[in-house]
Amino acid sequence: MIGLIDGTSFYASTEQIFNPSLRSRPVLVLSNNDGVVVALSPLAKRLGFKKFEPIWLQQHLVEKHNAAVFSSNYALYGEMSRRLHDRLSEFSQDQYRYSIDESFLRFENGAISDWIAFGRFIRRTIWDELRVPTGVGFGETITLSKAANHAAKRLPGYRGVCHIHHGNRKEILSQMAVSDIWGIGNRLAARLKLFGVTSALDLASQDPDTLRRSFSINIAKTIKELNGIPEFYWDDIKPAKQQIFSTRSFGTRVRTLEALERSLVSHALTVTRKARQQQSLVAQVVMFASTAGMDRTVRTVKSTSVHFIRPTDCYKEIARAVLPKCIELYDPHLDYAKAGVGAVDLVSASNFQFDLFTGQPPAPGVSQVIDRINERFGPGHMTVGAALSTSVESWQMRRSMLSPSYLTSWRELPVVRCD
Amino acid sequence: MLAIPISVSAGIAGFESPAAEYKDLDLMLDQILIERRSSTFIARASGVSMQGFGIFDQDILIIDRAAPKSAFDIIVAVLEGQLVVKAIDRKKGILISGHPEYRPINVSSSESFLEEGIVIRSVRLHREPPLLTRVLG
Repeated sequence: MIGLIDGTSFYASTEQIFNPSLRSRPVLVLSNNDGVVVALSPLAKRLGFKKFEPIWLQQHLVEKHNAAVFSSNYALYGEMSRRLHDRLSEFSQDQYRYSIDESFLRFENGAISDWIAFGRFIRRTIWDELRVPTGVGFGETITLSKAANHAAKRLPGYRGVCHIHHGNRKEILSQMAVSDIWGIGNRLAARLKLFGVTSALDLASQDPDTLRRSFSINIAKTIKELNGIPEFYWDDIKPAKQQIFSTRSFGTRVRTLEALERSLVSHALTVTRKARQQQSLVAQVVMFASTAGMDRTVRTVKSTSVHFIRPTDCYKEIARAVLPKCIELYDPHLDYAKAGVGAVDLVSASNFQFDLFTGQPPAPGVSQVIDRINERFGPGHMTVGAALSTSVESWQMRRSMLSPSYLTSWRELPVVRCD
Repeated sequence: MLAIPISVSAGIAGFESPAAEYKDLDLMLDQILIERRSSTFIARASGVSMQGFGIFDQDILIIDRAAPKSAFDIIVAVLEGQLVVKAIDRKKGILISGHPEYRPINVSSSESFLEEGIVIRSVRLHREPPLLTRVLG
């Protein structure tokens, strides 16, 4: 039996833990540069706030409903994430920490007689001991546990806990769109529609071998998983990306080479950090900078690329390679509105063979220390000199609405009143 | 409660520090102050109402949400949207302060009351440690 437990509106819920006055208000959490809403509390969802939309388009709702708006507090979410996963690991030793707020747990099939009651117990325990609301799904396979977790939160009557078994499987899957199934993206869902497959149950009823020929091996595996036959294991669900981009519009136009360099090196380091997180090495990056369309009749885009003969995940190496290329993108007559870096060729760090001709990689120590410090204090706390500036730059992360780091800073402890 | 693990080697290069083998014997206050890491948080007391129970203004409190309850506990609770420290008499359903100016509060029927966790330790700082000094302004 597989259980999938995840935090409900994890970022927004975490903001409510040490500031209980927020528990009755709608809570919104914004992306790094305070622009886009990335998390909503359930109340904010009901009041019509929209995720992944800019905050300035929703300002009237913020005022109308007295919503609380926060910048992303990585130190706080990271520590609560660690506590959530640690506490969940006490329920099963076979745990897979899938994302900041999602953990899979594996159990012996006969270990528990009433999975719904067990799910309620987990949910109650995590609420009592961490004040984090969760959703719990149980199923015979990873895909079914994910579907059960979805049903627990979205379908009426489950109140946060769902166990998919032979008796209710068809009924639950018939109420879910095929795009709600794990691994079925919108494009794939559109193609499946041509085959008459719209609900999750439609997909589960297909012949895996037929769809394998028309689509892929993974969809055949998904069909089997929906029918209770395990095909995926922890290693199969690592969400490794093939390409990683970091790009952002400047708050104010950039005119100097120095500012452009800082931006591009900073993006390159972000891409490197993400590559490191998924144990990838960077073999090639593209760099680009563009003007805004409306400034001139034509939008100018300049781009170049860097190829690494020996793929690397070393911050210093990548910064050193990106920095001298910035001048190729620079034209003193242009006002730059946007810049970015993409790692377009990634290789697996564990599979890559270093040989005599490519040379040995640099010692990993410095990059590891940078990662650890930034994990604790938030991205960008320690970085390579070329990404820093002496003055406050408008493109850098603005975190003007940051809540206190209640759990990780002695100076920001929650205050409890004795009066 | 959370440290960045960076190993430090002491002594002359090439010689193992004689202290290295004994590092397990260090006394860390966490060992006696904290029982369950994932359910415990640290807070700072503000105000005089709990002096009768030995909690003074600016004391450090260690609160465990998973600590077993007893008939009478010092707790942190949400009362009207704020985190407060009170003693609770569970049988009578009342919150008690440790100061004559504050009257007991009946919470057996209160909807704005929620228990957050049990104060399992308090720490008096007879001198303020530099790490805790709040940045003014």
